[in-house]
Amino acid sequence: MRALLYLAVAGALAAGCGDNVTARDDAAPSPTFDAPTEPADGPPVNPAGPCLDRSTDLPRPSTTLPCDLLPPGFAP
Amino acid sequence: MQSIRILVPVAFVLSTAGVAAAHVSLASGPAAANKSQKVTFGVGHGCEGADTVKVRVAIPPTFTGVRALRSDFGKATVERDAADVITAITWEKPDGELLDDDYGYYELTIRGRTPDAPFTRLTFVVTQTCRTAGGVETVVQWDGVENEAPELVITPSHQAGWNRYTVAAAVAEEDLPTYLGDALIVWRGTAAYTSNPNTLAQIQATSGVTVLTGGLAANDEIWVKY
Repeated sequence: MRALLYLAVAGALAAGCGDNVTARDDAAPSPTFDAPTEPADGPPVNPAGPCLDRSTDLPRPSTTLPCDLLPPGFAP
Repeated sequence: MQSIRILVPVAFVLSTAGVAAAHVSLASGPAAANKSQKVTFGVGHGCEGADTVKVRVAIPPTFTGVRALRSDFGKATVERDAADVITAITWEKPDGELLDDDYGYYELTIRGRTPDAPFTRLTFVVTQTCRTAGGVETVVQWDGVENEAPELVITPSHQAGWNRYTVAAAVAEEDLPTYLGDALIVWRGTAAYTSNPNTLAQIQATSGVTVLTGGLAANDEIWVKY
């Protein structure tokens, strides 16, 4: 019975823990931060603004268990 | 000057001294199973204003290959049985170094091999002797009867990453943080345990996964990630 539960959970989690072979390496990165705007007739506006979203911001953790916390054999 | 030896019961010590936290403790924390390592005892208090002058630690038979380290407190001497196995170690403060009050903290260290018994505790019986400036001695037994004895928590030896164990004896739910509190996550089937509240929230939010409750039973197989 436990083995069946184990397999059921593994299947449910499989989609979320698959590999990334379908990801395109040449895909253009999307903008990740709000760059300061530079008017054509003047210097950048507020270049040192305190509220810019930087691309170095850490991603938020998943709300569910990440794959690396699932035990061996738990996910395909 | 003649010394008077008094054996002081725990209730008397704790109620009259007003230092409930006073005890000989394991300052080095949990120890991995079946591994030669140092174990340090912390002597946090003397006895009702009297400084500690001698500490004797009885060595459990399953703690083997014992060596004593000299302490700032004093030199160590050992007791051996007929098989030449060390059965106890005593540290004694040199004459002339007695403090005039109880403000010292001492650490006493031994090295030895822990038993291959993860998820258990190893009790060390300790005898503490204090002496006032006037020469009155008090002896306190930290033996688990009169006073709480120091207990060495034996955790499973592990490596970074995934480790698989078969639990030899049951582990109560309240003891999981003691033995597995430093693990990232523990799995038994589809039930998981963690001491990290954020990871616990992830466990609770993951479909098909339950929070491990009720502790562990003997012969349970668990996966643990450190």
